Amino acid sequence: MSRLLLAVGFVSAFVACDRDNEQYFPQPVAEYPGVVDLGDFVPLTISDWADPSLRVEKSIYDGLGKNEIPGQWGGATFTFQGTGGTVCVLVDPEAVFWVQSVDARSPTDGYLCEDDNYDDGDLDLEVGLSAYYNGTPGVSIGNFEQVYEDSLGNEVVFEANECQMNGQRGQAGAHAGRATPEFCEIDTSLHPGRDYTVLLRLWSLPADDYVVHYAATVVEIEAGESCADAIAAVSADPECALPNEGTADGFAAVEELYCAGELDSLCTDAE
Amino acid sequence: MSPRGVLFDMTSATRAALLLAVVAQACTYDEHLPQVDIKGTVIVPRAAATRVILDDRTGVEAEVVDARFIGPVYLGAYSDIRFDLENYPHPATGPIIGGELGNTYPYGGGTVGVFDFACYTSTLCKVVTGRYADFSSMLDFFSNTLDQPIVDEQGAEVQSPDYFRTSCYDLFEYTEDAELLFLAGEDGLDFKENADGDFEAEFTMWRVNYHPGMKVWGWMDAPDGNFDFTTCDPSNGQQFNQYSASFTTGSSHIDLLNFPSNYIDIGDFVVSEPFELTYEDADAFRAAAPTFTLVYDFPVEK
Repeated sequence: MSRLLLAVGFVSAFVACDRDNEQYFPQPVAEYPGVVDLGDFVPLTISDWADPSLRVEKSIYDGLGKNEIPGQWGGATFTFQGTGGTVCVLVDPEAVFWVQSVDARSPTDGYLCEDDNYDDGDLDLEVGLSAYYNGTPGVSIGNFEQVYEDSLGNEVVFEANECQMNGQRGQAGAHAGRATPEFCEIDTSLHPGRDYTVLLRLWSLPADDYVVHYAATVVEIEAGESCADAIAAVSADPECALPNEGTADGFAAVEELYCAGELDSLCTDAE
Repeated sequence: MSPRGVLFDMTSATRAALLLAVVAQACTYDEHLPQVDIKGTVIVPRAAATRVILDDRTGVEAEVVDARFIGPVYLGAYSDIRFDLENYPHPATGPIIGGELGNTYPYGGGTVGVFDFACYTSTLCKVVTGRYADFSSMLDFFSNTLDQPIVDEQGAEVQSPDYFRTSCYDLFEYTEDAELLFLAGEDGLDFKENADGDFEAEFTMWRVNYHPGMKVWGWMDAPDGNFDFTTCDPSNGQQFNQYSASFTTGSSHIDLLNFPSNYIDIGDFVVSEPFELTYEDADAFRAAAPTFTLVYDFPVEK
């Protein structure tokens, strides 16, 4: 019996050696290039935004794969013209309804929540005048860093990304975490008619299909109105303003439950 | 020469002298740092220290001249000063990003007087270092000149210098007045009245990145009618959480020199003639060891 136990132990140990975690290293997907330029985009009016079907119809729904060139950023870009007013730019990558299988808020009642930990991607949002964007749309991803030369010829690197998001402690330059929607206001009053570039920087890819699906849009809002207010006017949660960005089986149903505040119905008790 | 070597043939005095020479060599090492300390004198006009005060008892207005009215005096080193950006001379700015004012990208700066917390929240953002000799001077100024008595956290007027001192020692866990920066002592006051009736003080701008042709400019933040200062951020500074008390001690905004026009307001005084540093490089500046005078003569009126 002890020999049998020893053999089983050896076999178990060698099975562990078979785990190479290869699935966590994304591979390029032919249908979804890693660097994409989506061209010009016409910002939604506030009435388009208020209409659930027009909101979806006029927004961008797409997917991004891995950049084929190792070590280089992937991402998508598109441009819109300055309206002369303020616009709200929003991106909602799939998915994240739960980031853990045990609900920290109610660990007993929500002991086990159905979730696919491998369908979450992440996109970081940057927006600025196209003149300051130093990437090549559709070829390589850049940023909005430029060099200013002062009156004495000294060079200063400055950041022209106007999409300022604050972190939990109020610090500027923050980004939302894994698969969480990101949004910001852009004041175009000084540059009406000029091109602005929206950069969706690929931060992480889902491990299930190596494609991060997303929804993105630009909406005209009133001067002084915040992007959060514009989103709150149509949805209690930014995650739900642009629905169905994911394509995985059951995504729409799970998102619908989440947006209805009924996601707990997918959780089972600890008992 | 002895078989043990030359060093052992020397007298002890010679050895000591040799050692001293070697050590002293280290002191002559010049790092040729690109940063310099700029020193000089700032002059603020008499008007900056003058207020018309209404005496509640007599109903008579009287002009009061007091150096304690002088707010923080800021100095910055910039690539250029321009006269076409604002209603007052202002540093050249970089690109305007997202509707925000352009950054001035200063090379360095300094102040004569900084905000300090004088132990009670009623003094938050109202006290500048180098203006008050002692507790009595501060109590007198706030009570009798400003008619804004300092009150403790229970709302009672602070009248006793000893009570003031006790509160400070208790709050900061200090043991002597020298630890309280807002108390300068009679000899430590920054501003003195000069022969012209204006007020002047010495300044040092530490570790300024030297660029030939750079200009030093600045402004004085004058208090408003409530003796508040636009350059102070009450939510900045040290955070105190003790029992039921929870407050920040206030401090200057972090981007004053980068975005001066966000803070310069009516009543402030700006330098209209910045001084230009024309020395070839930081070494030439250090060799010349110049001092400068900066006059805050331009009143901001709109």
